[in-house]
Amino acid sequence: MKKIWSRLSAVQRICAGICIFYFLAAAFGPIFSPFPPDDFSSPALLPPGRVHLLGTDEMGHDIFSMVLSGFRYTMLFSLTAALGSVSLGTVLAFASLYFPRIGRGINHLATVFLIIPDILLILFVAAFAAPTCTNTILSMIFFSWPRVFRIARSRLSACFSSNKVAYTMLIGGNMWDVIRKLWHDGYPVIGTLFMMQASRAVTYETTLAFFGLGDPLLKTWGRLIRSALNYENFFYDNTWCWYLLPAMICVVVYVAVLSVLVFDEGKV
Amino acid sequence: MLEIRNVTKSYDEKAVLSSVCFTLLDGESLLLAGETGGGKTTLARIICGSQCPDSGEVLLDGKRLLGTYRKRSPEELADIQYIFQDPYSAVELTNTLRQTLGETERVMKRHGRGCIPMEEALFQTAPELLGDMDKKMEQFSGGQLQRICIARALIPRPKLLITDESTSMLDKDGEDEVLDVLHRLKRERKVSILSVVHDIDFSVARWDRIAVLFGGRIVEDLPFGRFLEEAAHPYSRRLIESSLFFSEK
Repeated sequence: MKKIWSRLSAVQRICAGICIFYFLAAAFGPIFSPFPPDDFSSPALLPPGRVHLLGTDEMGHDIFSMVLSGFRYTMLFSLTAALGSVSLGTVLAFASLYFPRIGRGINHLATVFLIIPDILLILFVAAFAAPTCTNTILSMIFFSWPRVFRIARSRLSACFSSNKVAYTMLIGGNMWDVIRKLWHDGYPVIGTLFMMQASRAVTYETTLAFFGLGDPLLKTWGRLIRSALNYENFFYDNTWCWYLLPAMICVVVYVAVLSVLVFDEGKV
Repeated sequence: MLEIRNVTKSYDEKAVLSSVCFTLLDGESLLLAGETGGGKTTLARIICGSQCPDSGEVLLDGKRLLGTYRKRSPEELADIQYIFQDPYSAVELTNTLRQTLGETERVMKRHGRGCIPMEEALFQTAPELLGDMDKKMEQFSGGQLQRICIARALIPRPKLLITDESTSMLDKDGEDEVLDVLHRLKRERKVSILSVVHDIDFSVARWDRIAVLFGGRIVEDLPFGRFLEEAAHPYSRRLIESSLFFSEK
């Protein structure tokens, strides 16, 4: 752990710190939540104040509590979807190399999925399936693995043709021996892909909620943004400043932080 | 005893090997020389099973070996050990020496193949490294790495060692170390060695036989001592001339 930390650049350290804060907020946020997120007994449209830190919406929900609960649901969404699509993509990438016969088939399938923009497919499925949390995550996993598959496959195939893996196969090593050899070269890419997919999943979730296709009962950031935009007197009295901005900043910061962690070169 | 019968292989219509035949007796060492791109490595790979011949047979102790390693039995795979040209790419550099040798031991034990302990194998090829079992592979020199690779190949008690230009990436000292080890193994462990090279050093009589592969065929197959006088093919003569030219300098 200490070793990883010392390799990060200053910018990456800041981003990693923000990430840790997000995790803590997701884990312990509800303890500090002053109101239950679905409690609408407060007066409507209060500006930020001492009781309601970020004010209330037109229904009388406390916005601070909703943003806090958004941490938990949005993080859960993004991490589950990222874990799912990265595992599926990586396993298929390995299978396509280890079993060349089915490899071509998987490759063609991935190409078909890549040609159609995945957000369209996810929107399409989410529109017809029941809007539950599980369905949304499953459709995200199912339609975003091809990207992971392609990147993981190109990395693994370079290692696969290397002599060290050839040696393992020549002495009769089985699949696990090969995976042990590939792991050294594969895990940095897989870690990177995981972060890319996590930030992408937040974008998907927010987009779905924006189109009104997410789970209507979950208080995610996407839903908060949607209901802010739904409110007709949105620009009156600077309501948007405390209604829309907090959730939006949370989403943008999360996506940006993960992207910087992935693309900043770090200390060389 | 290794027997190669009429092995043919072509890449995109271009024939690389056209009915190659030779035999290698138990405990014998054969030097396979030939021009660059002449099919030496292809032949070595066909024997160890990483490439499939278009036609022809590879027999080990009279038993026909199937085309690729995936179809061969673990015993057949263990009998033939291949030493790669580039020792740096043949091992995982972030692993320790113990992990590297342990991999071979683990796979062999799983297949129920009797093997020699890794320390004993290492003692045969690089005794000075016995104290460095927990050092990372990246800390060793090229010559040391290549001798570690040979130690790894000895663990399953192979019948045949194939070395594919295994000294071409090394400096002179590393090359001498590796050749000494191979020579000693042949004497002491009675293992057959098929060594693929691109030039021949006639100054030290280390090998039993020399075969020359040219134009996809074995054009010369002579005992080492008689090669200088009796080699008749123009390519063999050129090999001798170039070798003598450099040794005189």
